[in-house]
Amino acid sequence: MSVVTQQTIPAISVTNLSHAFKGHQALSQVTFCVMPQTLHGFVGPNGAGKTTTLKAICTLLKPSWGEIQVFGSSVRADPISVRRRIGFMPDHFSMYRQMTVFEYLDFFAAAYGLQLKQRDQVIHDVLTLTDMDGRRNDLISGLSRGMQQRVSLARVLVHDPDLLLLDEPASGLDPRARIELMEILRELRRMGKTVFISSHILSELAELCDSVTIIDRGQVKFSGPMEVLLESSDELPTYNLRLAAVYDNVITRIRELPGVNDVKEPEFTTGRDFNIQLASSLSANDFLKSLLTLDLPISSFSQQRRDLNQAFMDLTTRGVRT
Amino acid sequence: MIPELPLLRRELAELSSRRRTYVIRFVGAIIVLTTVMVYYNFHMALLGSSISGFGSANPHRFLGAGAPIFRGLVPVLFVSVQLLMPALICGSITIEKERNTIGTLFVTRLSPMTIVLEKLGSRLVPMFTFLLLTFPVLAVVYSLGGVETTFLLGTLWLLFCECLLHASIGLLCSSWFATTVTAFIWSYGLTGLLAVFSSLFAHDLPLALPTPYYLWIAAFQGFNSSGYGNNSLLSQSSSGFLHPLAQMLFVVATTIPSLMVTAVMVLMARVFLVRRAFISSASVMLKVFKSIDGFFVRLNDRTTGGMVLMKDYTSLPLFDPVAWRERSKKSLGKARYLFRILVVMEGPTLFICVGAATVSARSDFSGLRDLLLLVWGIVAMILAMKGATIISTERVRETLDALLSTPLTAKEILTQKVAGMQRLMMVLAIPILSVHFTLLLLNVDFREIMSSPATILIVVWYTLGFILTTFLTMQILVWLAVLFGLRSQSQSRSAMTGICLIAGWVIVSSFLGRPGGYVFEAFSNICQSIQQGDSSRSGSENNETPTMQLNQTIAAVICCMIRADGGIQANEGVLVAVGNPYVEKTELYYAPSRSIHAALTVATVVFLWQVLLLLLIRMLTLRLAPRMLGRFDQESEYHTPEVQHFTSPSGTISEMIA
Repeated sequence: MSVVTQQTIPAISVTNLSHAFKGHQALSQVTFCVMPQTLHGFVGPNGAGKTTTLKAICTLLKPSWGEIQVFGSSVRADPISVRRRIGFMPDHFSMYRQMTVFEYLDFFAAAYGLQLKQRDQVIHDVLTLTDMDGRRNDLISGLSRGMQQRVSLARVLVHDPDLLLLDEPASGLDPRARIELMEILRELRRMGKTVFISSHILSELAELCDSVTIIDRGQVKFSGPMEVLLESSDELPTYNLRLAAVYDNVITRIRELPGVNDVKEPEFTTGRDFNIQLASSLSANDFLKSLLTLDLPISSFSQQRRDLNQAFMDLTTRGVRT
Repeated sequence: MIPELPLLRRELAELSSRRRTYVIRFVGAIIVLTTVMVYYNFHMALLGSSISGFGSANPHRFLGAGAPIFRGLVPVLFVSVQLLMPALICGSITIEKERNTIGTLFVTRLSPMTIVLEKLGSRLVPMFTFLLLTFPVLAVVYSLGGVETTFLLGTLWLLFCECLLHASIGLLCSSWFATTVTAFIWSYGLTGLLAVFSSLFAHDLPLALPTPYYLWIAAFQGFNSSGYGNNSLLSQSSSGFLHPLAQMLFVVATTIPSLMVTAVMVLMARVFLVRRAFISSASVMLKVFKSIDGFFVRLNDRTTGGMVLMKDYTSLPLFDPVAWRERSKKSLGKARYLFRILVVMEGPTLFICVGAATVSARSDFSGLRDLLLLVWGIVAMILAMKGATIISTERVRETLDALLSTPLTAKEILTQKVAGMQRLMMVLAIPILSVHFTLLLLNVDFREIMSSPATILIVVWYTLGFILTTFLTMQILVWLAVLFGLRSQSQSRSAMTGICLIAGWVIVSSFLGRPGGYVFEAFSNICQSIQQGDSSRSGSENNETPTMQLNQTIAAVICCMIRADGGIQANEGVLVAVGNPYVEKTELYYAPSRSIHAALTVATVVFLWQVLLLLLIRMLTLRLAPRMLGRFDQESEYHTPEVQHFTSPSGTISEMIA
């Protein structure tokens, strides 16, 4: 029963959130919801209001208007219990450089009120999870950027929060460190954590996230499952076709089929790949039936999806915010 | 062809867009102009009262009155330069280092010397504009007569040299140090040292001094045994026969050492600008301590083969992590580093105290009181700087957000931060307590005291009083500094705000609350008028002396309450009362010290007031803390949070890993 309740209460529920800095409207009627045990991407151009939203969620900013709830607790009314359930990793390294890794984690474990006898085990566990156990006695100042980011992630996990709020966790990391970080995030999702991640690296978010919120100029442009975002488009359905070999007049022959609007051969291909745009009235199944009548050996046939980059560009506005 | 000077233009544009520039200029102008008005009115009143009867209404009697007013005004201008110039220039180069923009400057066509000179120029311009504000007043004073043209022009030249000298000191500090805070402290430290050095040798070697202020005194005012008198160099050497142009040349010639020192410092600033452009901003003190550590470890290895009697105890935080970090991870928190600070401060203090006890036969021991003042000055500066930067350091190092996202309340964070400073306060209190204790030993005859139990109690009271007052005053300074520095975004700004505001409080309250000062006289007069009213109603004649003493005691209490050192002053009254040493009437505690009961009452009242003041400042700081730190806390959360247990619905990380 408790599991059901846990599932039905959103991890984050933001309703009509608005905030202004000295007359500048940073957020305007921002509304979105993040379900528990999911990995939710939060993307937007620079100055869109991502960090402001994150800070409001993690109780570091009092919004001018609106309501935020974390696992049903109001951020405004009960910030202390919210802080206990979240782990916030800012977009900069919050490191005490003169401490060792262990001291740093122990410091935050104490700040979260963990009992002394528990701390050693917990720190060992989070360091194992982030693959930093071998460096526990190293000074933080001597660690590489990627390692510092791992320690920072370990710090976020030290009080075992249900919700992780990560602001640009992969910024400044090399490709290996970035891939390893994403692996850790996947592992955390598998462990039942809710991860709310703000990032500019859209390709990785597309692979990683279950749902996404796109924000631009303080307003939410899209919020929902990643699948919906990538499939939703005002354009006509387009399919990718690959043939087993190269044939003559393929484009003309396909174009003559009923319900086909357009056929293009993508650039830099070997003559076996085609993009086929169908009329909205024609189903993929019917088209496939008529395609088989042409007696062409088909290697693969799939619907063309928007990638996150394209969706992002479609939804956000060009130029800087004034 | 006029050079383009892009850096100077940028700096001036930046300075003009800062609100602080106008605030400083406005406050400075108010202070200078008020001083001028006070001098002007004082001299005019003096002149008016000296002439009575026939001819007293003649306006010509004021002719020639410009000279004394001018002599009173010019030191204010020199002191203004000494106080403002370091603050203006100390951040000129360090700010480029802090913003990581110095490399960008180096790759432009600007040479290092051009950068240094344009930085110098950019800070001299606001200083000159500030001085220009006083020129209309100088013109009025000049028009009263008595100020020779040589005197005026010589003063202006010396003021110019003073600006250059102090600007070059600040510039050198700015190019040497990595942070504005360090450059700020060292600029004022060097300025203070120069002032002390100059005042020591001013009598004997006036022309060899590099400080234009003392050259001005030597040239136009002169020194005598009790201070300054009319035995100036120009009046002695020329006897009135030296041509004005020759007098001017003489003044200019005397400034050659000062200008040479300035030039050397500018050149050094140019050298260090390049050499120390990318130095680490890590704590200088920590570096010094670490290098000393290394030296002693090597020495220990050679002499004893590395034998260690007491090893460093490595602790971990229990439930006060912020206080633990302040104690264990900061250079001014670690026990062994604090011990070194104690040795550095306590060594000379004890030496002077023992010297005073063995050599001095007098009972006033004014030297020890000056030493107390000096030690308190150093202590107040350290505490103000440390307290004011307690949050801005976290902000600058971007660690504040992580700390604020924990369940620790703003109150707990601040309380633990200040608690982490307790060790430092205890160490800094030791030299102060040493001086107090020496004063007690020197002022009190213990053979007499032992015969009377009441006197023993009073001595114990005094001892407890100076211990408690010392810690109380330190706590007030720290909490005030924390309050002032809470909102600042940079360490330099918070340190400057903390130090300047506390220094302002100390100076202004000491000026207003001194015996014979405005507050003292005002309250003395109010009490007197009330008592006169009562006596007229009752129709009885009161004894004059006790009434006056009572008035002055009440005024002393009020003054002690507004002064930063009020508790110390009030407590000294007890010592004077019980020890009965010589005390001058100009001391604040003179009136209460005439009677032991009055002295004890005053000390108690002032102590209680300071406790109340501390509580108020602390409460205000803690109440403002959540907003100032940039987050919101509940009102009801001001209690220790319960210990967090692992109750995650999805199980612990350990369980999940398993």
